[in-house]
Amino acid sequence: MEKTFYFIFILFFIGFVSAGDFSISPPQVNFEGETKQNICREFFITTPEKSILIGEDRWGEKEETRRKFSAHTFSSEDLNLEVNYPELIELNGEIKLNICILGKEEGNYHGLLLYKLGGAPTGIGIWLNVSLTKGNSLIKISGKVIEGVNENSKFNLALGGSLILVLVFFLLVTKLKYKPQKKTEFSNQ
Amino acid sequence: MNKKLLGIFIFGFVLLAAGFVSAEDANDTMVVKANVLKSVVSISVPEEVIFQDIAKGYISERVDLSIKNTGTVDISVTPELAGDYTEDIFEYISFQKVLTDLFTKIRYFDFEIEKPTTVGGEKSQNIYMYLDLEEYAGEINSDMMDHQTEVVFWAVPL
Repeated sequence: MEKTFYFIFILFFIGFVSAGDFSISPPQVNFEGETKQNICREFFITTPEKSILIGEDRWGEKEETRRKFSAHTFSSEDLNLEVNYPELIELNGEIKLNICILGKEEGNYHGLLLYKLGGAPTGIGIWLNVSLTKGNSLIKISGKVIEGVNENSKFNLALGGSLILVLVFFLLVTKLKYKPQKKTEFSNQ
Repeated sequence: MNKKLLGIFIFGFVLLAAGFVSAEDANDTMVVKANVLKSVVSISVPEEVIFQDIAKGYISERVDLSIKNTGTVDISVTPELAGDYTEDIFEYISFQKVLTDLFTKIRYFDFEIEKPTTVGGEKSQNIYMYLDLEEYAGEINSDMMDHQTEVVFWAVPL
């Protein structure tokens, strides 16, 4: 009787994929930067047991903002985006992964990073929000040079001032130490 | 006797008073702790659906599916036929969210599941699945035994 009970108990749970622990985090990842800049972010995946995960990315048309799965049918190549992440993972437990995006054109992009559990009808995904501005290298370099000079001037001023003070101190000490003493006359009588 | 009684009373009073922490000496902070978990997207789906024998012009029996949100965020779920399926039979898979809804073909269907009421719990959403070949446009000239494909239920945050 007990054996029958345990058998039925086990059968009951076999019907469902134990994907309760198949999860991905965070729900969305934001990428902000400039064109031709490789921007990387972290995400986490957890599986309940040794599993094969198959990754893919899908994108909405440029400037898409809706969180609608069916509106994301483009590939990253369609949008001139280079997207790098692990596409095939063998995993047992939790792992921290990186996804990197490099865009050639400025603009706002909205995408999905998806992972499907191998041999199971379960797929999970997170949203990718990408905002790229056109990089202006000339101004950046010039700004850095100007900024650098200002910082160096302050440092030099402080250093110079300190050195002068130290010098004055030593001069004073030296003067006091080697102050000529008054001759005392001893009268010989 | 009275003195004894008074002595016991005073002693008891002192004991009682000593039992209370002096407000001036007490630490007036309370430490609060909690495990704050990261938000996760997670779903649980039945492994297999088997329809009974069917032919062109017929609707299958109804299959009740319970899809579970096992994460910590509200999700949208979209079923999708496997990318390598080249036939068209299972494109006629249809769903209802409630029994009074019209059938919605798989390529247009999605639904939402709220996050569980407690962390670590699950929230179920029942949907109804059919294979509706009533208006199947193709011709089925020979038996297709054990005709099968994979349907992936994609869960993404709302």
